[in-house]
Amino acid sequence: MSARGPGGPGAPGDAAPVVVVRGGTEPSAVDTARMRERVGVLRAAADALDAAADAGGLARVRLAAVDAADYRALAPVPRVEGLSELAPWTPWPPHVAHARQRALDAADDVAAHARAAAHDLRSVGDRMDQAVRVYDDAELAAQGAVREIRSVARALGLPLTPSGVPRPLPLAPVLDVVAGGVLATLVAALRGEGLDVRRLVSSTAADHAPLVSWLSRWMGLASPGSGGPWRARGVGDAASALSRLDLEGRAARYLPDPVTRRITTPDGVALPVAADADSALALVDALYDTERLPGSVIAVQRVDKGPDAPPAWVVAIPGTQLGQDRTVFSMTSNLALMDADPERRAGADSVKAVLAAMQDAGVGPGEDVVLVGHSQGGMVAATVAASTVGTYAVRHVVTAGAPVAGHALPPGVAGTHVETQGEAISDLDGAENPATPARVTVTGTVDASAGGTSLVPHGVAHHRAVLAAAADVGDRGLDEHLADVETLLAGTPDDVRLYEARLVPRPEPDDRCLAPAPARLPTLPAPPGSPTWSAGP
Amino acid sequence: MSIPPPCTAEPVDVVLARRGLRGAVETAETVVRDLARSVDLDWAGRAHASYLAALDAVRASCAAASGRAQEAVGLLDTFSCAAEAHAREAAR
Repeated sequence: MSARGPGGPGAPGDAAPVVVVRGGTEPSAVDTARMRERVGVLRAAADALDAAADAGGLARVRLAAVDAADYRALAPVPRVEGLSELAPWTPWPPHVAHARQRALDAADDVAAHARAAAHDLRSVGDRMDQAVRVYDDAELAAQGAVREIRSVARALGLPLTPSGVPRPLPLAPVLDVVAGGVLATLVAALRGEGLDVRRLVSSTAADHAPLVSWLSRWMGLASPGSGGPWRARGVGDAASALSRLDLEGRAARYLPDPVTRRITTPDGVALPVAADADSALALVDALYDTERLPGSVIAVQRVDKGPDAPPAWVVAIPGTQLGQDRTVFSMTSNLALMDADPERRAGADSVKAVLAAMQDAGVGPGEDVVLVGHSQGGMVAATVAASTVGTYAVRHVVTAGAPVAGHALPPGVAGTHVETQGEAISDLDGAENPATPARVTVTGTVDASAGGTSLVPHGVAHHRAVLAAAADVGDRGLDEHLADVETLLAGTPDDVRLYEARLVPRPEPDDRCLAPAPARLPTLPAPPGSPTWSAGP
Repeated sequence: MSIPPPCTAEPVDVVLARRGLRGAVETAETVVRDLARSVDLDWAGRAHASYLAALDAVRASCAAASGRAQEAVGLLDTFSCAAEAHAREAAR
C-alpha cells in the first residue's frame, strides 16, 4: 500500500515523506471514495466554523461600537417644556463598562476557538486527502506504467514475459542508470554547474537495485561458491569475491577476534531510552555522536518485566564508521555481512562484537531480544538473529537503511525494515526485501537536501521520519509490528550499557617472543693458496 | 450571581451581535453532531486511531467554542441590561 504522512520526530525539513509499506499479515483495505466523502464533510465543517469565527469577530466589532449615547436615545423620558427631548447623557459607571468588556472578551474567545477548530479540522481533512491521493496515484501510476511498458515493448518488437512484461536486455540496468541520471549529471558538470553527487544518486534511485544485481552477476563469477560454474551469481557471490581480496588488509594487520569492552557513559550524555521502534532508532543514532562517545560503540539496554517474568533486551547497533581507527564497523565487515555464506556473515567483526556485548551484558537464553540496527548495523542484527537460534531468543529485528533482502530471518523472528529512496545503501542487496507476514518494509521518499549536509538521505533521522509518516497514515501489518516491538520493550528500562569494540593489531615482528638464534661458530682462517679440487680415484 | 433584568430596548448593534453569537453556537453544535457521524471509517488501525484522536480534539475545540459563545450571549445580556438601566436612571 502507499500512503503519505507528516514528518516525524527529527524529520529533516518540512516536507512529508511519501511512504510505501510492503509485507505484514494482510494488505490494508481502503475505500478511497468513502474517505473522499469524509474529507468533504470535514472541509464543509471547517468552512462553517470559519463562518462562526467571523460571526464572533463581527459581534465583537458591533459591540465595541456601542456606547452610552446609543442607550440614551432608547430610554423613555417624560417630555418637559423647554428641555431637550433626549435623556441626559452620562458615561457608563464602572460596572457597566466592565460588563461590556467581559462580553467583548468572550466574543474574542469565540472567534479564536472557532478559528482554531476550523484549522484543526481542515488539517485532518488535508491529511486524509493526501493519503487518498497517494493511494489513488499509486494505483494509477502502476497501471499506467505497465500499459506504457507493454506498448513500447510491442512497438520495439521486444520479447515479453508471460505476464506481459518485456524481458530485460543484457545491458539494460547500465543503460537505465546512464539514461536516468548519469548523462544529466555529466552535462550539468560540463556546463560548469559542478558535479552534483546528491542529484546523481537520487535521480538514479529506481535503477540502483537492478544495477547492483547486474554487476553482481559478473563479479560473482570470481567467487567459487557452490552449485557449479553455471549457477547464476548474486550479490552474496560478488561480496564473497570482494571479501576474499581483503582490500583493507584486515587479515594481515589485525588479530582474528576484536576486543569488546564495556565503557561508562560519559558525563552529560543522555542516551534515549528504547521503548519502541522509533526511540530504539534514536538510540542507534546517538551512537554516532563521536564528539562525546569514542565511536565503534554498541548499546545494550535491559528492560525489567517484573519479578515473575524474565527481562527483555534491546541491542542498538550502528553502521559503517569509516575513518574510525580499528573499528569493527568496517568495509571488511560489510563485505562479510553480504557474503552468500551464512558462516562468513557470522564471522564478521561487527557480529562478533555484538555477540560479545550481549554475553557480557548477561542476556539469557530465554529472554526476549530486540535487535535494532542502522545500515551495516541492520545486517548485523539480521545475522545475529539468524546465527543465534537456540542461544538467544531474538524476537524482532528493526533495520534502517540496511541491505537485508538476502538475509533470511529464522521462524519466530519478525523484521521491520525502513528504507529511503535514493539513499543507495539499502539497494546494495540488489533486490526488494521479502514481503511476508513476518517481514514489513517501509520505503519512503524524503528530501535529502532538507537534511543538512548529507549527500543522500541515509541518516537515521531520515528513516525515523519515514517510519513516523508510515505509522501516522497506518498499515495493518506495520501497526502489528510496531506494537510487537512496544510490547517486547514494555517495562522498566535499566541504564543503557555501552560497549566499545575494536580490532586488535597484530604484534610487530620486534614485539614477538622469538626463539633464540643458534650460536655462531667461530670462523677459522682460510688456508693459504687457492682451494684445489681433485677427483677421487 | 444575580439574574439580569429583562432588557426592553437595545441598540441595533447589540441585537446583531447577539444574533451572531447565537449563530456561532448553532454552527459549532452542528459541527459536533456532523463529526459524530464521521467516525465510521474502516481503515488501518493506528491511522484510524490517529483520525479518531484528531476528531476528538476538534470536537472538544468546537464544544469549547460553543460553550464560550453561549457564555458570551449571557454576558452580552448582562451588559445590555445594565446599560439600559443606567440610561433609564440618568433619564429620571
